[in-house]
Amino acid sequence: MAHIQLTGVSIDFPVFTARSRGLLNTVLGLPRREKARVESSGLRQVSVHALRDVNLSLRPGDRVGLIGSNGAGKTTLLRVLSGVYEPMQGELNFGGRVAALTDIMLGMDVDATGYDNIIMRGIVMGLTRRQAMDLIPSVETFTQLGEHLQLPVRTYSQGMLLRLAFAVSTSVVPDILLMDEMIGAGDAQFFSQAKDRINGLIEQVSILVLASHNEVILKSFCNRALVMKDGRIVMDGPVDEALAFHNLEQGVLQ
Amino acid sequence: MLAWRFWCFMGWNDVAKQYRRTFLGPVWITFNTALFIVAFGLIGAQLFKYPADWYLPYFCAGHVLFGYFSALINEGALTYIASDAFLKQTPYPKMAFVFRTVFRCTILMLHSAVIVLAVLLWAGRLGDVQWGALLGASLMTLLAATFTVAILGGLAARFRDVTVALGSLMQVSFFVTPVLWVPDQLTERAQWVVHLNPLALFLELMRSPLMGSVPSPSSWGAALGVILLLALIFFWQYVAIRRRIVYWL
Repeated sequence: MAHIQLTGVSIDFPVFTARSRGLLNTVLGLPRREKARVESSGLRQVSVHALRDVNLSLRPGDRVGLIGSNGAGKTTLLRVLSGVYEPMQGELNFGGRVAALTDIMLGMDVDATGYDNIIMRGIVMGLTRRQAMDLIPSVETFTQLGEHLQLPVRTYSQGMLLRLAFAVSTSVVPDILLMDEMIGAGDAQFFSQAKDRINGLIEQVSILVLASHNEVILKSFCNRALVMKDGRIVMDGPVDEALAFHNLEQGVLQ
Repeated sequence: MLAWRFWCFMGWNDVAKQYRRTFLGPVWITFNTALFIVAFGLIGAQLFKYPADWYLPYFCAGHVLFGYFSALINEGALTYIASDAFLKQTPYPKMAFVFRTVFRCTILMLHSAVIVLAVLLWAGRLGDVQWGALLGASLMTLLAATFTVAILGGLAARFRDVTVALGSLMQVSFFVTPVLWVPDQLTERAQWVVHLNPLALFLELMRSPLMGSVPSPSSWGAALGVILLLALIFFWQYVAIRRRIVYWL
């Protein structure tokens, strides 16, 4: 059964200076003067606290919106949930197939044809070649790209490229779907088709986590929201309340 | 084996990409290499006073293999750095990227390997090739290459000067590794250059079967020793940094 459980998860990013980024400097030791200065300012181990003591439990049926200003830790949390950042502190348990739709063009090659790209994108998402080939008819119908699919993707317009990436990326139904901002694409007509397709996908997944700044999108897709601030979850509750809480905080700041 | 579908495909696609950009793709590089090998091979034979039908295959095999080692080391360092978009989106097993690099470099090397076979055929030495020993040597080289790529990839992700340092190191290694010259030409006192050079070790391991002789037991032993050492470093490093790599990208 799909679930995600975070217990006391903290994520720190080491901040490397030009000095600590180099092997030579690290092995030979920092020059003495430099070392003294770094120590005296108490910055020996410089790191950014991206997430602090996050506890979270996601169950089937959860449609979670992530709210927070830039730098609050939304993207980092999504990456922890996807398994990319394995926590050094705290624990992550999850069950089910996770898919992150953060970069829907990942694995695509502009010099390859549309058909090749369907297969490449499919394999990058974890399909077998055969399963990826099986996507072709539905992608053909959805994108309406016709003969363009036989041409290298570099000849596509931005909208066509997005349509193709979108079509393939939304063809695979995971148990847990993670999104950083809603993916929307192309002209008005395509946008409504895209909306139907993403609605269909979201209905089928067991858990959705969606980070967004758009209140309308959050309200229409989510049934639970987390407000993040400085790497902490400061509120966990219904979407309306969370949005109100967040807006109030922002208002106070201004 | 660790998302083999993914790395086989990605490695293969890296090669296919080059074919897509130009019609001849890597074959073009093969032509270049062939031209260089024939040109220098004939001159080198005169310079070092070896018969051309011995020196040309010797240099040819050396050049192709050294190019392979050099690609493995230089591109190995970029293994994780160049795949950051993938690593930041999906928790692929880290080793998949190592295999991808080794796979790609090997496929590209096999393009040039055709020249080696052609030169051996021309020199009438194709019949002397010790295929069994060559297979064994290739497997050992692949094993060593996999560990090396993994170690360098992790190191270079953390310390960004490693990539640059390796680039210059490999340029120098070309001259201290017997690619152009033959170890016998060195004086007794300078032999350590070859004996302490792991690149020379694996080069000889693969080149001597091509030249018709089976490597000595001490060569096999030394290669095994290097592999064990690399394996040890690899496991130690893998346990220590496997989870941290993504944080460094």
